Amino acid sequence: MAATTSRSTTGGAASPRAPIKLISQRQRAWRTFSRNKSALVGLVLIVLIVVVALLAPLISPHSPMTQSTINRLQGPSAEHWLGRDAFGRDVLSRILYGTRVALQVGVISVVLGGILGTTIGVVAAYFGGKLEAALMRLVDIMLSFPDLITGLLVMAVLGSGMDKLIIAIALTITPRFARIAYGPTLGLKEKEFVEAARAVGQNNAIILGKHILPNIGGELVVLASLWTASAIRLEASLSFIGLGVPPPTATWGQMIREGTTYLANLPMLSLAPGVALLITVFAFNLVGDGLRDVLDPRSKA
Amino acid sequence: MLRLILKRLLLAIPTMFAVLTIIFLIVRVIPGDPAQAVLGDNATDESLAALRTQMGLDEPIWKQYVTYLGGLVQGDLGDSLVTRQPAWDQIRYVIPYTLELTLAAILIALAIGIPGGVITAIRQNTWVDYLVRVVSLAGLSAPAFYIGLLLMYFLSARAGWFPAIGAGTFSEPAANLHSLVLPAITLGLVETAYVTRMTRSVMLNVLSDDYVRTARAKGLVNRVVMIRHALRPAMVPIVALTGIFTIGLIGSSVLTEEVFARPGLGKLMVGATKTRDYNLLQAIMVIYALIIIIVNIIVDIIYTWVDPRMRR
Repeated sequence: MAATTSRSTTGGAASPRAPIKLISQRQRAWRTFSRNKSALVGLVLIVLIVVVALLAPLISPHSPMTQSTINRLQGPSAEHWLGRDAFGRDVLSRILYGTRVALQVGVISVVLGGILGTTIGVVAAYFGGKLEAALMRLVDIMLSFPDLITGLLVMAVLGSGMDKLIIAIALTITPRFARIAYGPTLGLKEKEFVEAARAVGQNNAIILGKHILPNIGGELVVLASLWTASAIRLEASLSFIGLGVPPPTATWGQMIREGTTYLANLPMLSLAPGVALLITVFAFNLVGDGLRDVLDPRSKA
Repeated sequence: MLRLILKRLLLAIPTMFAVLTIIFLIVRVIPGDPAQAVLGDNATDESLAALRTQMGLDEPIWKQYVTYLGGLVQGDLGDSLVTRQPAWDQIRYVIPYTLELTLAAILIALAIGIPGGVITAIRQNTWVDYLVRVVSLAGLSAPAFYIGLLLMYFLSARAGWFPAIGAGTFSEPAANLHSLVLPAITLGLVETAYVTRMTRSVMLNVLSDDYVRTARAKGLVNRVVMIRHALRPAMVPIVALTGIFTIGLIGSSVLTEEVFARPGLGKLMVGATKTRDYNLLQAIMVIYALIIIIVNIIVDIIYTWVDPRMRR
């Protein structure tokens, strides 16, 4: 699926075409992607968010942890743009620091879930038989439960903490990668080049690593962007419920939860971190959408 | 039709069996002692041992499994570890609240999402299309609890039109419905985003089919083409996918119930998670699994009903 040359014909109507110029697949992918303005906006946003996460200690006007009980629950002021929370901590600084947790949890859990899920999907498709039936059945059952329910269940069993949160989210992502890796591998293992590799005596590990994975890798990396968006949203949701990273670490979900008590008088306490969350998830979704168009030119039709 | 339903139910049995086993294993085998969870860290060894015996935890794992399945077959979901009452009692109380919330949300989503999707498909690549696409992507990005909070702030805290929290009781339908408005819109908007995007892509596929072109070539009015030739076949995938999104809706309903402090299955599950009430948690998971399987069967049935080719 990844290596066809007949894509240009899917454009439909016979438009006058420029003289054929040979460009690499990567160049073509970038062209499709960069022509999509919203995807570019998303990419720029992600870069900005990463910069904020890295520079949080430098750009935060105050410490995210310093408490001040006398100055608790204050509205926005020149000194504290978004006000102070129930412990007198600076809301803006906590939002900026919260970027770190969101990105860390989002990216690490997608990487872990991606590796585990891809392994399951590829192994199931390649080896077939009972193993395939058992693994894919398990994957389908996991997929039939909503992320949040799976996440809640895992957190209930493991207890709270950032490492456990990452495991819980990675587990919700695993079956998705397994499903996506599974299909193409089924097709690839019948291809001549895989047969040829087998004929010259290469073992399964080499065939999987050198011939199968590179052919589905692009697709998986691309979809990782969409899953990062849902991983960050899930992190915030679990933190909002009170089952995420424990306080006092600044996380958006936790801040939103704590702020709800004062929603009527100090809406910024919970609405402002929500905006940060929204922008971040939105950015990853924009890029994911754009990348999907690159993968499947028909979907943008 | 009856045969079809029976067939689907029979097919669901092995799935349900697998799900029950997985839930059982997750709750029992992974570290964490339910007895310790009930009694807390300061419990003496004797009281822990006594409770373990009472809960059947010192039996071999296969025997616990048989007891658990045996109970389920007889409709016994087990007792809550915290209240020591049957878990079903608590579940039975909250299910109507979750049900009314979910149904209202689906209605809102279909009422806005299908027309929205059709319009963006017809006006593809115009500003209407871009606007609706960006808004629905934003809707996908916003977690339900945040949409809920925004509605709560503007329509409840500021405008004072709706109660911010609670769900009222069913004995007072007016108050109950009044409390339902904001949560239903919250959950409905999340679902609307999915339905709009899906309807759009399904419609785009159908619109490029030959018979739609033929209908146009015959000179039929655009509206007739859209409704009779395009929307009708498009309904099949729309119905199926709406069913699948309904399952996804369960996750968002947990957050919605949490924000609006509404009784419901999701809120009950969050509570069970926090108190480490493993039995209640297990019972709720069984109910969720049942709901998911039932929704799948309903989707299958509607599929058959909309698309006669499936009637075999």
